[in-house]
Amino acid sequence: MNPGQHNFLLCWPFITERKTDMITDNYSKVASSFNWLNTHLDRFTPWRSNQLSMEGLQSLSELAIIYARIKTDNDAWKKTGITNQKLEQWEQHIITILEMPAFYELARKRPLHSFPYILPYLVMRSTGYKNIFLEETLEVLLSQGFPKVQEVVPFRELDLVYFFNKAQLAQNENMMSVYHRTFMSKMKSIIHIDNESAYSITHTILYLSDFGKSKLTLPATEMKKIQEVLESLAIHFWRLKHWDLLGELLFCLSIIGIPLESIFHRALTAFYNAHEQDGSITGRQEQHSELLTAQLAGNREKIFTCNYHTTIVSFFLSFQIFEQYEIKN
Amino acid sequence: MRSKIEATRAARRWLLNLQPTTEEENDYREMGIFLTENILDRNGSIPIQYSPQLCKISTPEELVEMSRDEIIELSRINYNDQTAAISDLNLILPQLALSYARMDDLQAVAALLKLSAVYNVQPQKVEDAWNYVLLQQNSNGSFGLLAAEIMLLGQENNIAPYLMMTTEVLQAIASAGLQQGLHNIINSTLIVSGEV
Repeated sequence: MNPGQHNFLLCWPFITERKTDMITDNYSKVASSFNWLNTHLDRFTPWRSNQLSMEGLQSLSELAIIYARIKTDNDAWKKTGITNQKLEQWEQHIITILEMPAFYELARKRPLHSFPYILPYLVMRSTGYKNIFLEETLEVLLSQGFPKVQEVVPFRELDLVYFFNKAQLAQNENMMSVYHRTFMSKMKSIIHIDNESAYSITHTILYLSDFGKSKLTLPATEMKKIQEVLESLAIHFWRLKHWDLLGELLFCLSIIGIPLESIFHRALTAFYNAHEQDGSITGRQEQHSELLTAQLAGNREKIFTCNYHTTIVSFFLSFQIFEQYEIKN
Repeated sequence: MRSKIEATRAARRWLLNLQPTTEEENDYREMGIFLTENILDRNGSIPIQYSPQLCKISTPEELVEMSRDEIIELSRINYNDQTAAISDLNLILPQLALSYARMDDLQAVAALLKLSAVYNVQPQKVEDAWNYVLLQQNSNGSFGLLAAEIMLLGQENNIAPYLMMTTEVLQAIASAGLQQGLHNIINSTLIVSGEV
């Protein structure tokens, strides 16, 4: 074992008794964010007023990622109140969209920009679902070098490699070689990190850890650097009330392991305090007046736009904490 | 490589050569010179008028959620020893200073460094923030990389912003000196690299 490595092996979150109350409360956090997402299931579509929307498409992919994360897990999640019936509704909703010609033709029509169009399918493929038309599309795209032929920044490349691996369309391509080209691997200054770089860091960790299902296998010095960066940025985005990034950073911290001295629990409390009563949370504090206006007007579309992504992040975070506790007990 | 003492000497040279044109500039200059004298000649033992006040914050969360102006205001008050017992400040305050450094807010970073000394945060925890501050010194010794903003305002001869920034930084250095003792400051040469 390398010096310092024990910190990260022994200090997985919530192993101390004094955190038990927070764990119990965490069951309800998982359930409330899941229920909000479930209530808004019809909004997870690639279309907004019959127009193709990249944001809508992204929301569908993210819904599929949550679905796959739960579906491919053990049955511990049932303790949180998530039911098979609700999961089946999610599956049905996603598959219905994948099987609509208006959706499945997109990737074949626009090979150069095909990745966002095939992403929900790649995720569902990792759960065992297959569609003949989309399989043929993938075959054609891959034979022509798409979507990998397109030049992207390294953490987006990691995105591609991760989802192709998950969909069993690549021979477990080495993600570490891509990792070493990312911002997270190459950064030297803890100060000079902006929002884009912060998202690059969180996404890099999420892909490398299979969204929390695997431990990161990096040298102890690298793990220590990552943990310091995550804690520093968590305070930064907590101060800015940028709940979306704070949530992602806390999710990553819960994955890599929390040291004995950490700001994690204080920042987590601030994050949960920013939630609405219905279990959702808006992305940034400055969106709050926009959200209030939408709530007063009963504008579900706007409410969804303001809250869906960070609520997904909140679900992942709570689910990760819940799982850690289940593993320990 | 640059140390706080070298930075103070350079700031002092700039202040001594300065020709203030307003009362405000003169006040800042005198305060700055007074601070440099105390840092360099009197082992940092600045005759501060301590007013025994209770701590205005009781949890580190309050500090995170304060506005920058509230933090700067907080840094201007001198507290008694009761301020030193806030848990987790060692974890939060240094990172909060880096948060303001990310927004290029030298004044807020200096205020937090002053507070870090008041609250007795471990000096090694704020090294990254000090490295940031010392990189904000101009070749003439003043603090604040403000040339573009001042040019935009068409006020190339306006030295007041530099004076304000310089005195804020000198107050933070003086506070660090009080915390560590001047001997430690002189012997601790900070590597200005910004590395993690």
